[in-house]
Amino acid sequence: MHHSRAYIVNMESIHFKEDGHLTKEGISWYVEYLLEMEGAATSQKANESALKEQVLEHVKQCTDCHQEAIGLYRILAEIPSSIAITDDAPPKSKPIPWRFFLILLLIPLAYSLWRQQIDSVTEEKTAPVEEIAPPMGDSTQQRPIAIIDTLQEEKPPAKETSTAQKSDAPNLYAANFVPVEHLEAFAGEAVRADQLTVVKPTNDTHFKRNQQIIFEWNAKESLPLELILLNNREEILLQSNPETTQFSLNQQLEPGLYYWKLETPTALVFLGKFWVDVK
Amino acid sequence: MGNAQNTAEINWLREDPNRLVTHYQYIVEATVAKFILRGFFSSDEKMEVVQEINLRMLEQKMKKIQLHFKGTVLLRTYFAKVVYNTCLEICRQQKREAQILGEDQLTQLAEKQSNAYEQMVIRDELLRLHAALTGLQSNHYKGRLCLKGWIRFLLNQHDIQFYESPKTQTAIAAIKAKLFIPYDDLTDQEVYTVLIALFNLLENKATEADSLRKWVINIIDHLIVLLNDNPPVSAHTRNSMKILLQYYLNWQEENVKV
Repeated sequence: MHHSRAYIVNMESIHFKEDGHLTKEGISWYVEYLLEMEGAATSQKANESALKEQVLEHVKQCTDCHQEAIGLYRILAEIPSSIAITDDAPPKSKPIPWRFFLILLLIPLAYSLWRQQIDSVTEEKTAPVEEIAPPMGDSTQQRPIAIIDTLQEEKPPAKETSTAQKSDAPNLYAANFVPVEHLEAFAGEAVRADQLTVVKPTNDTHFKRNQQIIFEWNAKESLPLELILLNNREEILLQSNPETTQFSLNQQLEPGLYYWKLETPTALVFLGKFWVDVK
Repeated sequence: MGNAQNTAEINWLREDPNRLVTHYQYIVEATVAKFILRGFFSSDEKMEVVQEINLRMLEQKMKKIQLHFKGTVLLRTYFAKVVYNTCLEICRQQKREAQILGEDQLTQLAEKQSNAYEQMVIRDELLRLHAALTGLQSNHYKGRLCLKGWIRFLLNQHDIQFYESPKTQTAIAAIKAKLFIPYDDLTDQEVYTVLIALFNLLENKATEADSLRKWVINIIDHLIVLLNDNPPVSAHTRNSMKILLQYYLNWQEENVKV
C-alpha cells in the first residue's frame, strides 16, 4: 500500500511526539498491532508499512515506550474485544429520574398482579392453599409472600386488614423488580468472552416461582470461579465456588429481579440477570 | 470489533462523554484489577479507585480525549491507555508501590502448587514477557531458539521447521541429536556451539559461539529492564528470568497443543 508524503507526515505527527517518543495514539496503535497479529491471519496495520516500520523500530529501541506498550497490552489482552452497545441502555447521567420513572411504571403493574391474586383467592375459597417454601434472604425480604399467605389462609379476610395489606404489598413487589442501574450496564455480558460463555440462564430469563434455577457455563480453561447471586437491593443471597460448570439452586426465590455474577478472585467474568415472576 | 460500534462510541465521545465512561466501565475495572493484582491497591479499595478514575475521566480527561484523539486506532484502545495512565498517576500521587515479583517469589512458586491469586500474577507476568519479546521482533525464531538453549528447554520440530534445508542438514542433525533430549549437563559453550553452527550456515558467517552467548545475554538483560518497569513491579535477575522463561515456554507449548 502506497501513501502520499503528506499522509505519512500526518500519521507521524499523530503517532510521534516532537521529542521522538510515541504519543498515546502511537502506543495504542502498536498494541493494536500486537493484538491483531495474534488474533488474525492478516493484520490491517501490517499493511500500513511505512508507519509500521517506524513504530516497530522505535519500540524496539526505546525502553520507555516499550514499557508503556507492555502495560497497555496486558490490560487489553485479557478483556473482550468489545462490549456490545445496546440502544435501549438508559442514560446513565440521570439516574434518579430514571429509577423513579420505573418505579412509577411498576407500581400499577404489581398492583394489578396482586389484585388478580386476591380476586382468585376470594373466588376459589375452597381451593387448597399453595405451599410456598421459605424464600431466601432475611425476614424483611420475605414480606410480600408472607402477606399473600396470610390472605390465603384467612377466609374471608377482615376488611380493615385487607385494605392495609393492599396498600403495602404492591409497593413491596414493585421494589423487587426495580433494576439496579449500574449492574444493568453489564447484564448479559461476559467481560472475558474469549474464556467463558454462559449457557443458562440467558439474560432476562423469566422463571416461575417454583421452577428450579440452574446456572451453566462453558469455560475454556479452569478458571477459579465464584458464583454470586444478588437481589435487586444488591444483597448477596448466595456465594458458592462450584467445582463444575453447572450449579443448581435448590432454594426458592421470592418474585423479583436477580443478578448473578461469576468472578475470579480479582475480576468480574460475567454478569447476568433473571426474573422470578409472581405467578 | 466492528467499525459501527467504534463509530457509535466516537459519537458518544463528542455528544455524551458521560455515557461513554459508563459504557467503558469494564475497561476501568479491568485496569484497576490489574493494579490490585500487582499489589498497588488492596482489593477492598477497588471501587474507590474505580470511582476516582471515573471522576478524573469526567472532570479532565474526556475533554483531552475529545481534543487529541485522531481516530487512527479504536477509541476503546485509546481510552484504555488514558485509564492506565490515570491509574499510574493515582499510584504516584498516593505513593503506592507494587508487591515486587522477584527471584525468591518465583522460586517459591515454582516449588509449590500455586493458588489462584498466584497463578494470576504469573499469568500477568507472562503476558508482559510476551509483549516484551514480541517487541524485540527481529530474529524472532533465532531468539526463541537461543532462549530455549539458555534455559536448557527441550527443543522440538516446531523450533527448527523453518531452518531445515539441504544446506543446514548437518547442523540440524546435531541439534536434534543434542538438544532434542535433556541437555542440562551441557555447558553454555557446548549449547551455543551447536546452535551457532546452524546460524553460520544460514547467514554465511563464521561467528564464534561466545558471540552468540553475548547476544543472548543482551536480550535477557534488556528483557529484565523492560519487565522491572517504572514504577517497579518486578525485580528480575537472570536467574528469575530463567524461571519465568520456563513458565512462558510451557505456557506457549500448551497453547500450541490446544
